[in-house]
Amino acid sequence: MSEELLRIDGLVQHFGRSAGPLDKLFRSEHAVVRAVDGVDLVLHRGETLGLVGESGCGKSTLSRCAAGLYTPTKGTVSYAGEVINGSPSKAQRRLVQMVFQDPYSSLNPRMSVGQTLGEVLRYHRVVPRSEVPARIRSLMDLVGLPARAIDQLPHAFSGGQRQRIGIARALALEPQVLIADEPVSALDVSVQANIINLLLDLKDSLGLSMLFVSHNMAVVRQVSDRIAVMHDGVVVETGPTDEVFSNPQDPYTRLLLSSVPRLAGQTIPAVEAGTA
Amino acid sequence: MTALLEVHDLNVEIPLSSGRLHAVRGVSLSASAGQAVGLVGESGSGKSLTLRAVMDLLPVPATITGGTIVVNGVDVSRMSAKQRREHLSSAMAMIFQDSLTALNPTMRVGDQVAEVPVRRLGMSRSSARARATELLDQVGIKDPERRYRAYPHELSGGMRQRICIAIALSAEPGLILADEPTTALDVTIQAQVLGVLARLRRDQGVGLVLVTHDLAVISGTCEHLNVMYGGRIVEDGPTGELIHAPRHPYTAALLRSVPDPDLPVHRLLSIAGAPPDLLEAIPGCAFAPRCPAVIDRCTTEQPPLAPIGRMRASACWRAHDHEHWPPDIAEPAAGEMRA
Repeated sequence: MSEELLRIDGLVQHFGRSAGPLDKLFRSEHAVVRAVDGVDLVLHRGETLGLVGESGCGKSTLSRCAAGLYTPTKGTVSYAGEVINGSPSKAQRRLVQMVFQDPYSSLNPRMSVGQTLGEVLRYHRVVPRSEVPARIRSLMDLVGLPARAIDQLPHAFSGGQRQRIGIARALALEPQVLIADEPVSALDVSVQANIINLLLDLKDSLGLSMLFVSHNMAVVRQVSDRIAVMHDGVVVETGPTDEVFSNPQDPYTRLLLSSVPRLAGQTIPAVEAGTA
Repeated sequence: MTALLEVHDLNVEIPLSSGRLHAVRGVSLSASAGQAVGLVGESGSGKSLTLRAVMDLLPVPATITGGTIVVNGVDVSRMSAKQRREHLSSAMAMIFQDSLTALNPTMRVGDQVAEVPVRRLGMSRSSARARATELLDQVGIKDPERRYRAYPHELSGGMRQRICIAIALSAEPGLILADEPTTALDVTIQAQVLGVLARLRRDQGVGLVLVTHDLAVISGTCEHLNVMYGGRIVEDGPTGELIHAPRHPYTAALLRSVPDPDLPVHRLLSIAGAPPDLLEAIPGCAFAPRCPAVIDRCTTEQPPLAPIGRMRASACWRAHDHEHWPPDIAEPAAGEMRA
């Protein structure tokens, strides 16, 4: 097995307010959301791991922990064997980068594309200052945006183009791991295909590893080598994509797969009302 | 079977400071009891506005600038606003994408379902209450007596959407208009809600007009499809035929750009370019600038939605010439390879 780039061990992430004076007075239990409740995952060099699950299952929290944006309640996240514990060093941050779901709110509306990319390049000293403009142009090229877009503000772009900018921003640091949290769910179907194809091309040409988070089983099947199915804060099943799809072991995975609507006039199984 | 709803050459325009946005451009469709008709298209294709125009719920300042809407055999465009509302709401009901904003947050959900039976059908409070409980049961809500007293925020998204369906059913409409009813829901919940709609159609003969951008959802629910692009219907026909053998390049491209959960990795087709600017007049076919099968005629002359075979129509100059379309869209769609 090839090298482990990203490793998650027994990760637990709870959210809750700390006990206030009233809680102390009444000794009440304050509510804790157990977003991630003990997850182990490994991402190897060059592979794409698909993380699927329904809303609220903790997949976004997990991906944010993996990107070092949260300090986990328990457990560890390590990059290339080194534990980051919620505060990755500058070098570690360059190793793992994230593409966000919402291309409308994840870009600074008052910074042009060139400024957004330039800031990242200068701060991390990716290239000498004099070479920053050239690098910005080559990044735009990489994600298929015209060079004239460099001086434009985010509002001038469509959703698909903004997502390309988000990808360019993530790739500016030449990461080895790309964490994509629902990168296409805010986009129209035909644009979705563009972005999926772009991510697959970049993965091949740059030799990236990817943690691809999505609720869309069909999309995940297209991009992933392995998938992990999450439900209620825990991973219920992992395995090679084809195996999980053709022979799901966990009952929840089976339910999820049978619920996916399919083309070609196949009727959707009328699942009778549950407790949901 | 007589059509419950007949829309003819509907045009909707939105006046903006930069000009008039011609959002719906001559759309015709019909729906009857027990039948499910789908309207599919990407954002900005005019599918939602078409539905809202039918229900007289156009957002200000959009206005209907042409065409007729016939409901239950009566042309509603000539009625007064009040008459029209009466007539429309007795024949049709609508459900929306966002069930949380569609419901009144300060009212118990049961009372919201009972509102129409009390106000419109003149039922007494107690019989309306019984009717509402029965409706809640019909849309698959467990323990309806207890849920009757819940407020919208206490229910999950799937439950709330069921409440919306129950409200839609409370006036005993012949037709339900659904605007992206499952887009905000998780797949397992989506399957449940679609199951409820399918059951209502089967057991009570309620007609359905479903608007969505999700081809897979619509293909499993509707027997007849209308594909919209740039404010027009570019292709319509029975679902199976349309999906297995599209006769408009846009439909073909759309089908090839949707990932299939049952197929391992295949390259998705990406449609280059952007949808047309509806502020401007489009001289030819709206899809021509992005169409791989474009010919000279497409950019100058607008193709009419012309019948091809039984019950099908396509607005493409090359609809009969589909064997000669370029291979990237003429290749069998993902669905066809499996079937």
